Amino acid sequence: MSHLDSDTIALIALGEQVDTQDTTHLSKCAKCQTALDELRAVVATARSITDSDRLVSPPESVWDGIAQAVDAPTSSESPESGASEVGTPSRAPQRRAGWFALAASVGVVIGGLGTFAAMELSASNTAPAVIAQASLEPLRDGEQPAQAMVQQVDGNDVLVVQTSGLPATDGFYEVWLLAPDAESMVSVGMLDTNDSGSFPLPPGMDLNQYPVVDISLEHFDGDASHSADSVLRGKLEI
Amino acid sequence: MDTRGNETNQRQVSQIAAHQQEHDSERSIGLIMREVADEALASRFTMGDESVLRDVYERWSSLIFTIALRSTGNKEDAADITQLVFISAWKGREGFDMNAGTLPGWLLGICRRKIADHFGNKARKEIPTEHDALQADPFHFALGSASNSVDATIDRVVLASELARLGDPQQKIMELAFFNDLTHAQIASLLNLPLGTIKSHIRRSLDRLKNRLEAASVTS
Repeated sequence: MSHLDSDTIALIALGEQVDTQDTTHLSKCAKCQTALDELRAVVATARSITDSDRLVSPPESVWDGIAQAVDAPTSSESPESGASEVGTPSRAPQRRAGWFALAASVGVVIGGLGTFAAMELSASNTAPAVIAQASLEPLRDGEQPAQAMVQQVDGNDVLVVQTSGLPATDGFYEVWLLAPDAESMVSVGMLDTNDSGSFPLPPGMDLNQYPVVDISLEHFDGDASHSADSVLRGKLEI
Repeated sequence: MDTRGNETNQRQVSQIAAHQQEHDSERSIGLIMREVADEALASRFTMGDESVLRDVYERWSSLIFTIALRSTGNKEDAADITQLVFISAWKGREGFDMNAGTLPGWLLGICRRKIADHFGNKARKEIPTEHDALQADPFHFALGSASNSVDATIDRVVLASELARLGDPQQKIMELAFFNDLTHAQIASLLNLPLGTIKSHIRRSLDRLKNRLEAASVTS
């Protein structure tokens, strides 16, 4: 008995009509039925969401209370807040909250509103800073170019690689940062079979010293060094 | 090319596991980055100084505050609860175990307890000590229904925030499927995207939202 594919289960969970043979299978298969029930619960919760479930930022005074209790700097002491306007959050909290929810949802960047704005925006979908980028060119015929970038996440550098259409292999693809002469290198991790990956770089890693992103085809041969079989390569523009 | 034996030529296999498990080709890099950032925050939390608390607060205070606000219906109470949650979290940070659950899941567990305490305190204040059994009943009833509705509130707020973090086109697709009741075929023609793409976005997004809800309900 073949099970329903997961795309179909998801559509049924959303209430879409499917073939009768699918519904017949469901009535007989506890495994598929359980998977469906789990997704149906998610759909039901999603459909119960109302506007008031959207995120609202707490007033700035909340942080100040926490900071006092744990001996951290309060917002008026923090350098970025500048002239902290005492009392503003309680004067018009409703309006501010509405504004920031809107700003966060559409990704608008508001300047000059101090910590409160920075707080809400950093808690939302602002992208991490990109500090370097590379186009990776195929080194063998017939393969697709790929992209890499280095982003700063909480002060740490993370290399993000996005490839497409790398051929299946019984080995694996490994991501390296090479010196320009390709004589020294650092392995930053294995690319999984799904073509993308993000690799936190060791603190203190100097991208100027290792500016070349290289993806090699490796075999499970117990040899940790580079196979010298590179499939994609490109230099980071920093 | 003599690369063997080079000191820098080392695998960092241990770094891979945490971030590689759930990657797939159709997820946006932005989404992956946000998750990496969340995990990095969680790993810094137990070891860090007060600046980490600020970062954790910036990332999750809106979630906690919104849940407290929706549960109590009162801004001052919600502000008090939010404060208590982050103070407790910081003082008890050694009790957070990354292997047992996520940091937001753990914070939500504390949030649940603080909201329950809030209703408990309020009920004790409002009901005279000499109350009889008849008066006690509605009190217990109120407490029970409050905790049910807190869980439902947490689920809704978590789901709303995770939906907003999906990024487009996934967010748009899921909103059309959830709130406008469009079929995947209708969404495909509306957004001018292939049927298969819509189907796979729907399946991945639903799975993801399910996992996020599960993580939020693990209180460890």
